[in-house]
Amino acid sequence: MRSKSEILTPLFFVLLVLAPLSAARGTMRCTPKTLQSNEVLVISMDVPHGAELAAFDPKGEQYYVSFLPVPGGGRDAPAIRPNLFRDVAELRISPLTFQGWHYRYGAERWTSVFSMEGEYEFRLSESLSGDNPNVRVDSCKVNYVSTRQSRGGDAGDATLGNASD
Amino acid sequence: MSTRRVLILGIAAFGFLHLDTTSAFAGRPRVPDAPVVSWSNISDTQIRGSISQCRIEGVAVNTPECNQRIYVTGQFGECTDTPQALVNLPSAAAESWTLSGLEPGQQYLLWARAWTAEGGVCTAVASVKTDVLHVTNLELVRETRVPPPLDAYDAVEYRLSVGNNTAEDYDRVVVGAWVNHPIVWPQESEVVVGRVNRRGGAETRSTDTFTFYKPHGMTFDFSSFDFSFEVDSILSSRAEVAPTGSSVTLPGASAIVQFAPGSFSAPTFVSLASTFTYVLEDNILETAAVFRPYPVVSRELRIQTGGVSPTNDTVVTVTLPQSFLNGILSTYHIRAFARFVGHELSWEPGFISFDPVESQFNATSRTITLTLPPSAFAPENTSDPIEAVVIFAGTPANDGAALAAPLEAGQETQAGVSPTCLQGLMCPLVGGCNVAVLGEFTPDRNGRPHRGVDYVAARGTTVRAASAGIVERSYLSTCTPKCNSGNTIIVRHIDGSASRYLHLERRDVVAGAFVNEGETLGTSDNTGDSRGDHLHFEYVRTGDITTSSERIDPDQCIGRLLSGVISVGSPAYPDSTIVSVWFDTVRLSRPDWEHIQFGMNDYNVSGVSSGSHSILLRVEYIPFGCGSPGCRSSLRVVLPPGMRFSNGTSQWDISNVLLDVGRYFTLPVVVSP
Repeated sequence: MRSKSEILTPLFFVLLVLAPLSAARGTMRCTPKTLQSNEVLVISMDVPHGAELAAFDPKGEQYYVSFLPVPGGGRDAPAIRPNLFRDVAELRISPLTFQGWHYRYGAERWTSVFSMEGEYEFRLSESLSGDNPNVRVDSCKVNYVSTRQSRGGDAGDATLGNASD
Repeated sequence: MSTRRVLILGIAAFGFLHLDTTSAFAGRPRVPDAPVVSWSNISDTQIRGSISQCRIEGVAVNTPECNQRIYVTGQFGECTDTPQALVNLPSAAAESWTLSGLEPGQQYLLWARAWTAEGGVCTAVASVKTDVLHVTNLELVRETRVPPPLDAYDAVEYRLSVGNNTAEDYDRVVVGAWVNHPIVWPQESEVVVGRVNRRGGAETRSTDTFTFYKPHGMTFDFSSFDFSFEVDSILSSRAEVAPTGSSVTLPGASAIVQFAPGSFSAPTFVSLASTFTYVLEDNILETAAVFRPYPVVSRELRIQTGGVSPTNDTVVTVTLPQSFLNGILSTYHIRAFARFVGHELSWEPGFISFDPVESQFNATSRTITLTLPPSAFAPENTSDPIEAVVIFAGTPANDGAALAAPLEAGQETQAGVSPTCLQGLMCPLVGGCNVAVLGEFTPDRNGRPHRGVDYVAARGTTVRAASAGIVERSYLSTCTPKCNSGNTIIVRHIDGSASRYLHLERRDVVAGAFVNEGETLGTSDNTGDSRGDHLHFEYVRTGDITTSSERIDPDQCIGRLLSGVISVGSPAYPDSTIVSVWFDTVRLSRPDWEHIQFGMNDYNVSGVSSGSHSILLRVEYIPFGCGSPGCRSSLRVVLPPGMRFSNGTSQWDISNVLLDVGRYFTLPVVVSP
């Protein structure tokens, strides 16, 4: 299992954009709708929002990005501290390098998320490990297409976006 | 209250004797014509006996296979000056023996042993068996489906025939059965299966029926049955009570029942009997668990008023045996409990429970005076006579709160299990049950209720049955909108409660399957209306899975409740000390301590909450020949992980100490959170 320090290295190529706390809870958006491996996925979220974010691959496998600590949760440390994440308005993700906690019993590991083509769903909630109907969950989907192109000069590495509201 | 108790009628015993019919009941029920005892180490050597009041007679037979002399004696469980008969048989000889001097009205457990002075191949110990009674036939009467919601079970009724009843001094004979199968109900408990009325002295054969419950479709044979019989009522009296009131007294004035004027409108015959019933002792421990009754006096008082109940309160004065009083802990006081019939709704007739009645104990005279309300006089079943049954027990002196508000939600009862949980549940997830953020049980939260608990569980985590039962449903939900539970399994448990497992990845069991506690049901996932991987777990105490409000928070029944094995006994051969074992108010060892093995015995405990508990040991049997001072023996108790004695250790030993039959040891233990 990876250490926390390893997880929080720049290998996790996302852009965190903090937004004003005054924003009301709202929806989340994934753009573009069709994502090629050499493109950058932008996830926009009205803030403040829930503390947990996970990606679901086409097979339904879950990859946690931000999560609250729970004893026995099977995950080491989140890529983003959940309290900080609540006020993140925008994530910029390179599919070639984007990683999360693959949530599979006995095989939990920090691994690449975009490993196959197909529809990926990102879910955002205060708690994803549940079905309490009173807990809000937002989601957006993106169709991932692997272009298998050279990564030279693409936006795969950390792309620092501008702060936005 | 487990409805298995409903089936349990009063068994009153003078002696307890065991008929081993294990092989006889395999396949088509068949029983031997006569109880013949053979021991593995003393081939064909037999001890036979018969019981008459205050005396036991028998014949010991040695055989050529045993080339050494054997000796026979009797051991009586709770008697300090044990009567003994000693015969000294050469090989291939027989000799009759008699054990006399039994005190009327006292309970004895008969043990007979044969051994050789020289040891060797003939060294063996066995319980004596008599030809007082034996089972002659066992046949299936009918098998019917139990009505919903327990229709996953079949009610199977058998008819048992008994014969050769030579117990002429007894009022009645009762046959008990033990069903040692994890899914058959009732299990590991006594069930009255036969009754022989000897009052006329002419009846030598009788039949009776009994019912047990098994999962529908399950094939059952009797290979796991043990049969025993017990003989009832050795101390009784009968008198006529006039409308003006009078008293009825047991021999020796051990009990006086005073009926007030006007209790009966016409002269009424009243019968008193002092009996012993392991089952009732078990019943009081269960139904009156909130009062923590232990120890329970070894006899109960039965007051039969025939066909009418007294209209006024009845005052009863009973002299309690010193042996019982010796076992009362210093922090306990003595309380009288009366049997009440039909207190609660039950799908089975004859529901009985024990509730405390007003009573006062006089330590000087060893008498307890109690007041029985008219409602305490009732027939257990419609065909039974009207009868009051009173049992005495020690209870903690500080149980006033329990009296004031018994059985409130969350209140702990026996072994620390919340009364809202019919049973302690095993965590349904391999790896532990950790409640997810916002995954708590919320029955009436603002907004929609969440009547289950969400446990964090990565996809693929093994989900197991929280308790034994039958898979009632195993299906993929199609419910819409926002009600889809995905792959779902419902398990109906033996006590009628049910558990639900939602959003599963894989279902490894089909409807109708029998699952033991901890058996794999499938794996967890995120199927259906769910935000992410987890296990949504529900527990329906009443079993009414169609009414969501019947669900209770299952997390209070599992997770932090400890399960494990407590080992108790004498660690070294040939030390043959035998002790009965209680954990809090729960008897771990079988009441018929004849079945406790020499050496160490393992007892399972489950549903034990964190905090302070106690183990109570009572010495039942000491090494043979230990009837005089100076006999020393040893005891050991080994606790399971998570449980410690107050000094922090997990093992308790005493060795080379003087032990007396009836001596108690109270061992405080602590379960860490």
